[in-house]
Amino acid sequence: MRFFAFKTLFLFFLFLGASISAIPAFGQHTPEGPFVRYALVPEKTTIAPGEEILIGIAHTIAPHWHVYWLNPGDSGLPVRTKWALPEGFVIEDLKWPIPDKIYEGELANYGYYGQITLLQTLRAPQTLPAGVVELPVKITVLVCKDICIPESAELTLRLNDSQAPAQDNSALIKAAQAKLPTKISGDFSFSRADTKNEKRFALTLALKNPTVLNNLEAESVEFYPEEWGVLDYPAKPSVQIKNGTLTLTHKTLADRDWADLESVKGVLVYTDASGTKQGYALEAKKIAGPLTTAKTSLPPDATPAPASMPEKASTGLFLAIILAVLGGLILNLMPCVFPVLSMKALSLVKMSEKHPEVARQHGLAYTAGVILSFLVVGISLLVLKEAGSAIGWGFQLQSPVVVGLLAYLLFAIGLNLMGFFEFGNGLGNIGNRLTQKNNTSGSFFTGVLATIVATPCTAPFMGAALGFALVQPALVAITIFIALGFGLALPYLLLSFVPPLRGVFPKPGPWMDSFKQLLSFPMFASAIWLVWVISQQSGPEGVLVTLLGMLSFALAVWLSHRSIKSAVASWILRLSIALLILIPVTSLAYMKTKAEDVACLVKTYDFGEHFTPAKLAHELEGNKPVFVEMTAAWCITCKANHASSIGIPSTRTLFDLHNVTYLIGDWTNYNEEITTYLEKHGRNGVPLYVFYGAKNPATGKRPAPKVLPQVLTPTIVQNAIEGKI
Amino acid sequence: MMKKLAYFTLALVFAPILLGGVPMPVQASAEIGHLAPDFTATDIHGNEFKLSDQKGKTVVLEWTNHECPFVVKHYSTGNMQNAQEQATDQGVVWVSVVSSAAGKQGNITPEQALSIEKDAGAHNTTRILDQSGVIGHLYGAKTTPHMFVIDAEGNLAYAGAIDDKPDADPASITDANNYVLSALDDLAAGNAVATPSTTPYGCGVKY
Repeated sequence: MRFFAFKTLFLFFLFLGASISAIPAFGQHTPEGPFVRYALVPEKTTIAPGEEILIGIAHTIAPHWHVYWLNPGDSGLPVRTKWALPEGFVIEDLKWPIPDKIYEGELANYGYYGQITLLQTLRAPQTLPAGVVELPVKITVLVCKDICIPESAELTLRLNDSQAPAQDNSALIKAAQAKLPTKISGDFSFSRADTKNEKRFALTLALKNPTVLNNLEAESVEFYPEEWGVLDYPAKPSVQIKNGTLTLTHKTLADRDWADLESVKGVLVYTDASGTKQGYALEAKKIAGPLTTAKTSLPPDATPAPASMPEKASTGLFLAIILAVLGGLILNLMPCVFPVLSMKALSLVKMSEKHPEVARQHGLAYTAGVILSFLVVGISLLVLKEAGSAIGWGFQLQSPVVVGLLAYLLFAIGLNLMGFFEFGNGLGNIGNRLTQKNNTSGSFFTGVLATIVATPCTAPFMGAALGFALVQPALVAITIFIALGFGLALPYLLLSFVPPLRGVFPKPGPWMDSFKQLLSFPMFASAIWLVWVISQQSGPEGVLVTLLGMLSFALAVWLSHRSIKSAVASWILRLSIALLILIPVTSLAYMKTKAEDVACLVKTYDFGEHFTPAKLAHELEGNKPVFVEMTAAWCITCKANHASSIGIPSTRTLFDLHNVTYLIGDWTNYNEEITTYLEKHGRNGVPLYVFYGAKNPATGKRPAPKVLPQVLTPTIVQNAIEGKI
Repeated sequence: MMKKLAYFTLALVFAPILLGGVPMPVQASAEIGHLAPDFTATDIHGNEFKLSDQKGKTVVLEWTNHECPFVVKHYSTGNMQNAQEQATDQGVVWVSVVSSAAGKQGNITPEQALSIEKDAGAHNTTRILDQSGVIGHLYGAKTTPHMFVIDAEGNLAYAGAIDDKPDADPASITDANNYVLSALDDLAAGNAVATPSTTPYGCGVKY
């Protein structure tokens, strides 16, 4: 019973994937609050009549949860404080630190993760009663992760308490003030600037001090308005900087009538050269549209190139293409791809002896298969990013379902190479079939297969090329993906076009069978590695169900090859096979659930601590140097770097000597905080190494953070820590 | 060759699903003063509901998620049910829409929906489960609750919050000014809606 023809197997895996995505997680994560803790931090604990002091309302938010800014965005509620003030006291409006833009599915919000401090100015009356002043406050927030929970707390601030020790929190208040947006002056205006396809909001800033704009990377600039109905939050703006004027256009939904909107206050945020997020508070007045800037007019539907990097872009692109082709080439040597390539190459050699003219067709078909598959992956990545997903390269491995599917696929290919079963028209047929003219479509599909099995393996150079690609405009990114595919297909393409190369291979013979079986071992090794990744993502239970799934799959294959005479028994056999297939399917669904639980756990390391943005912010407020490492279980470069340059005794001693705080961010599973941190540093994937030097005691400032290269050596790390480079 | 091509096309179709699902945002096309986007859907009673068939009647669309604290605020106090009753007594068609995707908060089966409505004593006309989010995207529904009022000619007359108290505390219902009921009053009197659009508040719709 030829149950498992190649195409059926192919379809089976695809169906698996489709059905798994539709299965809801087995049971929701029921969270227990409270998710926000508060502290009232007055500038000082005494207040004189008529005096003004700043009060800090410090929030500590549970990891992965967030609260909202003054304008929460598409949904949510801002933090609110309600003071029950004694007579004569006045409290001013909340002062908000620069928020983050948080994407929740297709909606976008403005809010905060980790640790933030809001500020309010308190003014005492001219006649102050003697004794303790009690100021009760009720703080209400909406704290959300994927679901939302309203929380509130009632605290009391006590001032002028002669029994309590005097506190001076001015350092903490200063630190909180540093996170507020700074004021700038100039001529600021906004208007509608609709094109025929899209409604747009246009902001023009003619700055009094235009040198401020030199610090900006135009690509990172965004405007967060305090008013509703001004922007379509999930969209990204296009920004042009010319002659000291910044023009920002952003899609709007026009769900608000602007007739009564005379001015819009907001924050202009951007990332500076050292990768830190900065913000300017400004108020723009409404003017009549359509908008024309002083010297240039904005062409409709055009995406202006970032003003700061025209030259850098072209050399960068050229280099990235070279790196991509190299990376693709080296991918052929990786244990996941090498067996597929070898078998294909051998079949080409054997077949081209009898039909040399077809060789080139096969080469072209294979290359087409590879490049098209890379295009599909690349386009999916770009579409997902456009839709606002905080993903980077390697994102496909952050889903345990995908890792599980790949593990099953590699296992199945290993079984096939071992000779456990045959595909109808695929990889391994060394026998008579090869001597016939194979259809070139077989080569096309092998190309697709080669790409699929290549995705869990990354090669040196690939990371750099891809990281570059994903922050570029779509057309550039696609070019790099094509280059990568070309690199992967190049060896086979050369073999098919250059007959002398084929002569290098030994004459076909019985050794081919042994070689084929030998190749099953690197395949199994790759599957084993993926099972290890699953152990990181879904725990030991994930490993168990995956291995059981593999076992039941092998059993199903074996059963399908038994020939049964009786009709009843034949039906029982088919039923058993169907049931056995169900096991891998359910295992994938189970792993999806498990991963959601595992992702929230705080990891402990024997060298290093778990990274959270809050922890980093807290450490940066101190004096010690900080070393941040972003890694993932499926990232081989990361593991290699860690083993060769960080986990070694000399580096441990070095960290000890310089009192370095070492934070490790684990991106094995999808993690918005880490993705945001990566983007802050212009990166899209792991690894990322950032070193923050110690605070200079004279100036109280740290040097600019240093981003280390993606391939580390102990010397590079040493030089960074010792401040030599 | 054709068969292989067919399989490959299938693969291309499934690839995005394999990669975790590609969100397909349909552009919101609901604008105040313009014709509200038409849609057809099967409601929880198994009947077909087509918006354009309701011409001649005023329609209210209420985006909801029974587990969102803001929706709970309106239902636990009876506020939403009262508004529904007031409206439907005047011949308004009130449709609750659930756009929570499979596996996300608020996603329910028709049986669960029927039981939720029974327990709450709801007075809506019917409920539609928009699991794929198509109707939600069509209207640009962002929060739960998010309210839309469509007049008898089929034009969108109001879009936004249910009332002027963006708060999760049930006590905030007391002095709240219900924008939906105001809009319905304006329409019944033959006038233009005084406040046609406000910023909606609530939890994000779980597409």
